[in-house]
Parts: sequence; structure tokens; C-alpha cells
Amino acid sequence: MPGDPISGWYVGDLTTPGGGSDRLHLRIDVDRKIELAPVTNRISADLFHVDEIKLPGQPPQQAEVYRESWLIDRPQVTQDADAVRAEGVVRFWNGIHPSTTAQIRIPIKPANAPVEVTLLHEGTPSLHFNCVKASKFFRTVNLEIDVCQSVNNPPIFPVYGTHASTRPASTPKRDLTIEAVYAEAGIDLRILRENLTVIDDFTVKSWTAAELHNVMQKHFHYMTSGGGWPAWELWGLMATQFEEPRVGGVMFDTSKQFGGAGSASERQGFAVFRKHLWFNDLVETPKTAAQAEAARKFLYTWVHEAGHAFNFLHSWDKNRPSALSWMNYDWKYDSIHGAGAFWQSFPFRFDDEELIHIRHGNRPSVIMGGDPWASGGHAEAPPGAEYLKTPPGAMASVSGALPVELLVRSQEYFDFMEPVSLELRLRNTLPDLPLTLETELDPEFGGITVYIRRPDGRIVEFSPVACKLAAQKFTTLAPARGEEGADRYSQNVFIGYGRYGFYFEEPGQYQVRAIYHGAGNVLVPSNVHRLRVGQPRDREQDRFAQDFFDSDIGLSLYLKGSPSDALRGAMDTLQELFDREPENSMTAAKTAARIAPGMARDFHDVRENEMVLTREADPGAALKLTDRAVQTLGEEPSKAFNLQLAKLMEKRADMMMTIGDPDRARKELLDLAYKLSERGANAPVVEDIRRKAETCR
Amino acid sequence: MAAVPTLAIDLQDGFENDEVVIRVDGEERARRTGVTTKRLYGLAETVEVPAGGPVTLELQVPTRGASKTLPVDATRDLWIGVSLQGGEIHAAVSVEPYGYA
Repeated sequence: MPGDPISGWYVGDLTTPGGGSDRLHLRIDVDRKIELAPVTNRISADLFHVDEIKLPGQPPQQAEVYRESWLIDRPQVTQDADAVRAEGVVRFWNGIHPSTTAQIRIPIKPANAPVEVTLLHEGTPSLHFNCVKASKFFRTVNLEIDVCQSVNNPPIFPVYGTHASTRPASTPKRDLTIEAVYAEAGIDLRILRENLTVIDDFTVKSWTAAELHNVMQKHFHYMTSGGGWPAWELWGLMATQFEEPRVGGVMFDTSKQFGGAGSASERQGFAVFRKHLWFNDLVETPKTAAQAEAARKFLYTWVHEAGHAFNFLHSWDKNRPSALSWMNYDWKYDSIHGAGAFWQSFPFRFDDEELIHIRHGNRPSVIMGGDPWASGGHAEAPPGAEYLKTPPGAMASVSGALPVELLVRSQEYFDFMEPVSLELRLRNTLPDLPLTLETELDPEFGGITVYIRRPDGRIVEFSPVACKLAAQKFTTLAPARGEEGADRYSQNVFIGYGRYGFYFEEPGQYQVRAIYHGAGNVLVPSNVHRLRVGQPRDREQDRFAQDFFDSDIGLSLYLKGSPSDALRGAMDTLQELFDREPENSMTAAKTAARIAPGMARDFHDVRENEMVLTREADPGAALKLTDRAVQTLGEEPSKAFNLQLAKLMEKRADMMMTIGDPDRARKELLDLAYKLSERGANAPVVEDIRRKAETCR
Repeated sequence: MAAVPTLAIDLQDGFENDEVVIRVDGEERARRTGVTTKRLYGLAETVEVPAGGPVTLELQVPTRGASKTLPVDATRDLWIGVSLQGGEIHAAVSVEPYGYA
């Protein structure tokens, strides 16, 4: 195309229909603007709603709340004397939309005139945006690099001269750094050199994924300053050695099932291990062939691990074992094409599909802290699920710099038939200001909506059996820079059964996302949380499932146990479950914890048009039922069980007080405080429980 | 006395809660259950087996009904990369350790 290249990133607001507060981030990728960057011939965009946030004593701030993304494959591009025009069919990543076409006019004259974007929806009014150029790159990411004291020797930031070792004959000569590699991929990756922290690691011989995650939380400036997720922020650590010493680098921030730390949100950090044998010959100025190869491998490892954080899988996991990409292994490629073939052919770039993903992929699946790693193999939705109906709002998935963060988390794995509850956590991200929020997080009260992507790809909205209207419950959350833990509020919420039945009755992988509406004046989407439901233990359990997944059982669980005549059969079936399950069954433990409250309170029923007490509270029986549950939950070392354990033991302490046994109640709470402290709960939470124990008299 | 060479058998891609049995010259040397590939770096686990001289290495994955036999000249330390693809065992021998990232 003659004239200046037009590719790059453009941003602009909705102009018509007027009165809206929508913003478009547009990426045009039809000609070469960045040296050596391949052209993918795509146009893509992210649509945001712009919220104005007013904080006391501060000028109003804008926050962009992400709505959805779209892509045009191979747009038609034409040019006349005044403008370049691009047109194509819009493909939305999620949900059902009317047939949509985009017409984009990029004026050549006058210079810097806004790009006009028109979205023509079949049957609805068209939308017009005026956008101005923001960058020649398509996305911008900040990378903080920290280094462990024991490997704090140069080189820390990799540099590799492309002619220093084996290469394809046509390779342009240049010095490659992490920034340069990502620039050629169209990404403005900025290393925040001023944030480099040297971390004392003399007691650490080798690192686990969980330890890496922990150190990230303590040293990553973006996290410690209370920054919300998802965000275009990434952390890299140069450490000594991984627990599996032949791993040269790891993007540790993903599910345990993949070898990661198992802590939401994901894809925020990675590590490179300087004591790996790949880097034995690494020096600042390579002179020998071995030193050049070490420098090349050093660069490769940094680029490769950062690539995982953009949600790249390995090449062979995408059915592209012969891909010449930073995401392939040289020895895997060589096993197909012969010894040394990879480096003789590798053009120092990501492959075409990866470039499309990193520049134009669905924003939640690319941005750090967005969709879980490997979700959809960056196809963004399971095969065949792209056109399934999606509830409105379900994909309003990630936000800009909002003052509140909503986190959804739980254990990663649930046994078959195990009641599914999640922790919903609100956190104040404002560094210096407290924030008062509506903190009733049960969907029954309308302040939270929960969406569940089932194993078949269908997305359903969790509908509670009951909708409750109650006085609002407000809590003031301390500023993010204040006392540890006082900036957040957590609630455990049961979502296993609702108006339309059981939501997790099939084995497989589920994804859960929640939207916080609060008192109705904000919209805060959560992370996407992944969990897996296991297979039936044996044929007997599979047979029993037929009795278990029944609406009466679901209702009994939902109602926290019910002595109603109508649900007597269901309660009998649950008793049968306790008899069938093994001693340490999590299914039995969670079920007992769920239904015990119903036993501990009086039950009234209508008899001859009169409400009468039909069953007296039996806290003793409820305590007996949950003895085993305390033991089973208490033996789980994972922090993911802390909230459920706390809820159960606090409830048991209340029951002990009811039956007039304060000594036992105090002991129960002190035992809980000890367990939580051992499992890394925040100090203020543990202290609160200790204080409550002292009031048991 | 020279150390006996070791076969480091890397169980790489395609394993999911599998059982793996390793025999050298017909003798069972290792049995692992619950073998699952860590997709982050393409390795489940490494099994080290001492084996001097030419031997026959037999790899069996009973959970997939798959097995493979290969001759290995174990006169020095060797690394065997084993993966499951389409229900079949693939194995490659390397004189250098495999690296993962």
C-alpha cells in the first residue's frame, strides 16, 4: 500500500448514537509499521464502557469497564486520494450478535484526522466511533523483573546477536532483547528497570511453584501497591533452580493440574532459573560458540515464559509440532526434522497463529490475570460452543482500574457430588482511601450475579431458589496500603443448586465468573475461576448419583437441611450418603457442614391452619454430625478450605454455647484460630477469632 | 570403580493419571501410578534406572494398553524421552539431558 503505513492501535469514543459512554480500542494490522513485524491482515477491537468514579477530595476519574472484543479476518482494504478504507465482517469472540459489518475510514489528509469506524448491525442502528492513533504497537505490557540475591550477577536482561550462532541464512543481523522480540510481535513490552528488587534467597535451594507465587505476591510492585486484575502487568523473577532441576523456566501462575501454584488469578508471573545447565556458559559478552548458545537459550527462556503469560501453550499442544516459534522446544522440533534443524530454521519469532492471538485475541484470554491459562487453547471457547447462547453480561469479564476488585476462588478440584461453594472476595484497591461497600455477596440478595461455563461450553447464569430483600449490609474496607487483610471482605457462597437444578452434576471442567453490582451503582467483573469436578469413585457411587441429583436433595442442601415432611425422603438419602462415603470423604464433610444448621434450629410447620413447633432444635445432633467434617476440612492443608472451615467451626461454637458448654466453644474457636494461623490466614482474622473465644463464658 | 550408567526416563507428554511400568531385560525396575503430564513444561516425572551395557528397555502403560520395547546401549548415562501420542508410546534416546520450559 503506498503512503505511510496505517497499522497500529487507535482509541476513540462513540459519537452516534449520542449520549453513550462507550469507547473502542481498535487495532489495525494490514501493513508493516514496525520493522520486521509480520503483518497478520487482521483488524480487531475491544469495546469498553466508560465509568466516571468520584472519590472524595479528588477530581473525577474514568475507569474503562471491558465489555467484549471482536475481530475481522482478512478485511478488504482499498485506497483513494483521501483515505484508506477497510471493510469486513465482524466476528465476536463470545455470544450471539446480529450480523455485523465494520467500515473503517483512515483519512490520509488532513494529517492526524480521526479514523472513522462504523459498525453496521443488521436490524439495529449503526454505531460510529472517532478514533485517534495511540501507538504503532497493538498492545502495551509492563514487565517487572526481580532477581534473587544468589544469582544477582550479569547478565540479568538477555541480549542475543542473531548472527552469533546457527541461524537461517536470511536472518537480519540485530541484537535481540525481550523488548525487541515482543516489539516484532507487535507488543510494546516495557521492562520497569527502576522496580528491580534483589530478593534474599539464601535459605532456598530450589523453588516450588507455590513458593514462586508467594514471593511474587510480596515483591511485585503492581501487586503490593494494590493494583487490580486483570491488567497488562507481568512479573518475572530470575531465581536459582526449580524443584525439577531440568526446568529452565516456568510460568508458575496457573492451575496445580498443569504444574502451577494453583492460585487465582492466573498468568501474572514467571521465573527463569539461572542455575539450569542451559546457562552454565552464560556470560555478558559471549565469545565462544557455547557462550553464544547459552545467550540464545537465555533469551529464549525469558521470551518463552513471558509467552505463557500471554496464554500461549506449547506448539505441540496446539497440534503444530513443526512450528518455528518461541513456544516450541528445539529438541522436539529436531526429533521430527533432524539434529540442529530448529536453530538452522528458526526466524526468531512467534508463529502466525500466535501473532494473531497476542495482537488480536479475545482480550480476557490474553491479558494477565484474565482467563485461566490454557483455557480454550487460545481458541477462547470450547470447540462448537462459540454460537451457544450466552446470558447478557456474562462476558463483561474484566475491568480497567476500578477501586474495587472481585475475586472468585475455591479449591481447584471437587469430588463427584461434593457441594460446590465458592469464596467471593471484595478488595479495596485504593491505596489511601477507605471504601464503604455493600457486602452481602450471596446471589439471593441481588448484588452478585454468577455465571457458570459448563463442561459442554454452555454458559448459564446461576439462579438462586430464593430472592431475598433485606436491609443493605455495608462494610468499610481499609485502604490497600493499610493493615494486612483489612482491605478485603470474603464470603462463602453455595452455588451447587439453584432454581434450575444442580449446576455441577457432571464431571469435567467448569469456569465461573461473577459480576458485583453492589448497591446498584457499580459493575465489577471478577476473574474467571476454573474448577474441576471428578468422576464417580466407582460404579456404586455412580448408581447412587441417580438418587442424589434429585430436586429434593438439592433443595435440602440449598436450605441448609430441612426437617420438613416434604423433604424427609431427601434427608434419608443424605443419611445414606454419610453411611456410604469413606471416613475422610470431602463430599460427606461438606454435605454435613451444609445441612447441620437445619438440625440446630427449631422447625415450625402448619398444622390445621396453625404454625406449630414440629421439631425442636437439636444442636447436639448437629455437632455430632459435623465432628467428622471438622476433622476432614482441618486436615486439608490448602488455604482454599480456610473460609469453609472457619464458617463451620464458628457455627459449631455457637451451637456449643446454645447447649450451655462455653468451655467447649472456647476450645473450638481457639483450635480454629490455631488451624487458620498454621494455614497462613491473615493475622487480623486469627485475632478476631481469638477475641471471640475469650468472650465464651 | 566406575559408576554404573543411568537411564533417566523422562515421562513427557500425553500422560493423565496413568500407570507406567519400566522393565530392563525383562526385570521390573520401576512402577509408577497417577502419572500426569505437567502441561506447563511437558514433563510428568523422571524415573532413573541403573543399566550397564546393551539392554532391552520395556515401557508399559497398562492404563492405555500400550507397550514398547527398545534396545538401548547403556554404556554411558542416557536420557529417554517417553510420550503418549494417539494411544501409542513414543520413545527417543538422547545423550544429553532434555530441558524444559
